[in-house]
Amino acid sequence: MSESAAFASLIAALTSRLFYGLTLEAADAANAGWLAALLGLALSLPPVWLICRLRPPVRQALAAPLLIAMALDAACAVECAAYSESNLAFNHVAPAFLMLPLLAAILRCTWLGGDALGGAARIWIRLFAALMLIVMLYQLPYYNPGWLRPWLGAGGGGILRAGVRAAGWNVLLAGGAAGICKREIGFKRLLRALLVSTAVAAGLVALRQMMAPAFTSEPVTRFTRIDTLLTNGRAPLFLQLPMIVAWFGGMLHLMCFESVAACALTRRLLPKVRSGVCVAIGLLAVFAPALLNVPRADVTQRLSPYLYHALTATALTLWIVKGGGAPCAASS
Amino acid sequence: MKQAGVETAQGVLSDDLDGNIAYFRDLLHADVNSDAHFRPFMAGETRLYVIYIEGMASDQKISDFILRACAADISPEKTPVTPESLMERVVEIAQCDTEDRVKQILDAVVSGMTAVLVEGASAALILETRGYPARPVDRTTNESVVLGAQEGFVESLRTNMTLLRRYLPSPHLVTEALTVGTAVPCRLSLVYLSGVADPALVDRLRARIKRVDVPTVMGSGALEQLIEDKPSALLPQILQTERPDRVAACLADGQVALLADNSPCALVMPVSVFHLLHAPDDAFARWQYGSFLRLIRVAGMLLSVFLPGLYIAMTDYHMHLIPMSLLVSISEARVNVPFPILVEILIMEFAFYLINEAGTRMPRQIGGALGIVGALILGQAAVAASIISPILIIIVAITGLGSYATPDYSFSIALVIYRLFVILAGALLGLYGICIAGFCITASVCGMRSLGVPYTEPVAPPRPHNPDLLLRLPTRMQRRPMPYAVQPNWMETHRDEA
Repeated sequence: MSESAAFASLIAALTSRLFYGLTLEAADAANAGWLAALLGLALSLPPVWLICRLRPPVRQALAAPLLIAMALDAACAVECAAYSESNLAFNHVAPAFLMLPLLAAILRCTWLGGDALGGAARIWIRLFAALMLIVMLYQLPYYNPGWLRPWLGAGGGGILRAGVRAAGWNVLLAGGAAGICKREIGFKRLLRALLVSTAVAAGLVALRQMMAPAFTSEPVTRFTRIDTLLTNGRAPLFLQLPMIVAWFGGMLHLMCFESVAACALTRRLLPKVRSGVCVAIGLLAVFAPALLNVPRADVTQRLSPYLYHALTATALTLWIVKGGGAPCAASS
Repeated sequence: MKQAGVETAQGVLSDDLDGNIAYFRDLLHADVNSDAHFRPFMAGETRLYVIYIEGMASDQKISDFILRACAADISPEKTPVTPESLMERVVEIAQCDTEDRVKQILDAVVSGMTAVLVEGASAALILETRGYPARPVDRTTNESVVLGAQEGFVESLRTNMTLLRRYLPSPHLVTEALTVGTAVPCRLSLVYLSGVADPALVDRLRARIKRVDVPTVMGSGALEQLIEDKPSALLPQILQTERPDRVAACLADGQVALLADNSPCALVMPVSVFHLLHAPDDAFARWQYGSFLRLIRVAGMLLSVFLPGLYIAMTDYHMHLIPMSLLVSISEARVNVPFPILVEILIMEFAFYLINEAGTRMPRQIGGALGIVGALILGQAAVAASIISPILIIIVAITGLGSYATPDYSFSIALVIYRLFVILAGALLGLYGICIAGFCITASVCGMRSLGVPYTEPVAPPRPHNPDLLLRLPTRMQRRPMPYAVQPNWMETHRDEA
C-alpha cells in the first residue's frame, strides 16, 4: 500500500472507529464524548511517535500484539455492522448470516489490494462530507447546544476512561497504518491523519449529542444506543437514508482497513511464508472470531480500556530493551 | 518456393523474373483468384510485370503513372532498366520504394499497392497506388454534439491520420506505423505528441501490441480487448472515440492514441473514469454550461445505477424512510400486481433493454413502429394488465434516461450490469446490501488501471490536475500540469509564455 493510500484509508477508518466507539462503546463520557476524542488524541501521540521511532526490525516485534488486537477489533466491527443491520431491518435473520456479505466484501477488497482500498477511501471521504452536509443542513433547526452541557458530562473520570479507549483505537490503527505501508510512513503524516480523524469524529459526536440527550440511567444496552443513533434523534425520518449510508460506508472502510492491516502484519510476522498464505492467515484471524461470535460486545467493551495500556507498554518496552532512535521517515 | 499461402511467404526475390512471378502466382492463388493481376509489359528491351489486386489498387494510377510513363520514358539506349532507375527517372508516383523480401512485397500488394518486378533484378518496386472505395468523412453517429466539430473518423487509416494532422499541425505529432496479427496483419498507427507523451507509456503500449499473438485482429474493438490492463473488469480501460477533435485534445494532454485500419474509432489511453464522464463538447461550451451539464450527467449516471436498487430496498425493507403519502400511493399502485418488486423490476429492465436492442438492430423504416409497440407494451398494457405498477415505469424511465446520458457507450453498458448487481443487493439486503455493493464497486474501480496508470487518477492517488474533473472551471484556471504528460514539456512552456 502506498503512503498516500494508507493515509486516506487511515482517516476513513479511524473516523468511523472513533465515532462508533465513542457513541456505542464508551458511554462513560455521556455528552462529553467529543472531549474524550480530543483527550484520546493527546494520549495517543507519545506511543504513536514511539512506534514511528522504532527501528524496522524492532518494530516487527510489535506486529504480533497489533495483529491480535487488529483482528479482534475488525471482528468486533463486523459484528457491530451486522447487528446494526439486524436492528435496522433484518431482526428475523441470524447476525451470522448478515456477516457473510461483509466478509465477502472484505475478501474482495483484500484481493484488490491496499491501493484500491486507499483510492476508495479518498472517494468515500468526499462522499461522506457531502452526506454529512445534507444531514447537517436538514438538522440545523433541531440541534440543541444545551444538551452538550454540563461540559464535563458525567465527570472527569468518565472522560478519562473514554479518552483512554479512544487513544487505544488511535494507537492501534496508526500502528496498523505503519505496518501496511511498503515504505516507512512518517510521524508527521500519521499525526495529520490522527488530527483530521479526531476533529471530524469529535465534531460528529458533538452534533449527535446535540440531537438527543445523553443517557443518564444505567445500564443502557448497546442496542438502545444503536437504535438512537440510527433513528436520528428528532430529525425527519428520511434523513436516516444518508445516515445509514454514512454509517455502513464508514464501517466497511474500518473493517477493510483492519483486515488489510491484519494481512500485512501477518506478512511482517512471517516474512518467509508466501504472501497468499499470509493473506489467508490474516483473513482467517478476522473471520474466525467474527463468525464464532468471540468479540461479544460486553467482552470487547471490558477489554478496550486496556488496549492503550498494552500497546503503549509494548512499544515502550521494545524501545527500552531493543533500542530505538531511528530517524522518522521523511514526511510529506 | 512451392508452398502456397501468405504465411509461408519467406525469403527474398531471385533475379529470375519467371520464377518470381510463378511464386507470386502461387502465393496469390492466381489460377483461381480473379482479383490478382499480373500484367506483363516491356520497357525498352526489358520485361517487367505489374502485380496488383483489382479494386484495391487504382487502375487509373497504374495506367497513367506506371505503364504509360514506362512506355514513354524508356528507350533502348537508356538501358539497363532496374527498379532504382525506374524509381529515379520514370515512375511518377510520389511514394515508392524498392523491396526484396517476398513477405513485405506480398503484404504491400494485398493492401492495395502495386509491385513492379523487373527482369534480371532481385528487388521489386513498390508503388503507392491504393484506390479502394472508402466512405467520405461524415458527421459522427455515436458521439453527437451540439457545439464543436462535427466530423468523425472513417474506416480509412490514411484519412484518419490526415484528420488528426489537421487538428494538430505540429512537427511533434508522431504517427508510428505498426501491424498486429500474425497471419493477416492489421495496419495500426500509434499516435502521440513527442515531448509531451510519456515515453514510458508509449513503450508500454508498443510492447503490448508486440505481445499480441493472434492470427488476425478485426478492428479496434478486438484490439482493445487484447491490450487492456484487466480484461475481466467491467469498465472500459481504453477510450474509444470516433471524434478526431477529442483524440487531438487527449494527445495534447499527453495521452497516446491508436488508429487501426478499417476502424472508424481511435483507441485512447491511458484514461481515467473521469474521461468517460466527459462529453466531447464540454470544452466548447462556456464553463458554467459545461459544469452544469456534467453535474446533470453524473446525477443521471448515479440514478441509473442506484435508483432501482434503492426503490427495492426502501419499499421492501425501509418503508419508514418513505414519506407516508408516497408510501400509500406506492402501496395502492401495487395492490393488484401479483409479483414481488424484484420480479417486477427485472421484467421491466428486460423489456426496456429488449426494446433498446431491437431498436438498434432494426431497419430505420420500421423504427417508429417499435416505439409505438414499446410505449404500448411498457406503458398502458403492462399497467392495465397489472403486471407492473405505474411508479415502476417512472423508475425505469429515469434509469433509462440516466443510462442514455452516459457519453461513452461501453461505459453505459457497464453501468447497466452494475445496476443489476445493485438491484440484487438491494433486494437481498436492503440499504445494507446497497452500501456493500457500492463499496465493492468503488474499490473495484479504484483498483483498476489503464495502461498501468491508476483508473481514478488524479483523485486517487492524488495528482496535481486542472479543475476539469466533475466540474469544469474557467479555462484561464486550467494551468496545472497535465497528469499523464512528461514534465516539463514544450506544451507547458508555451502555455506559460502565453
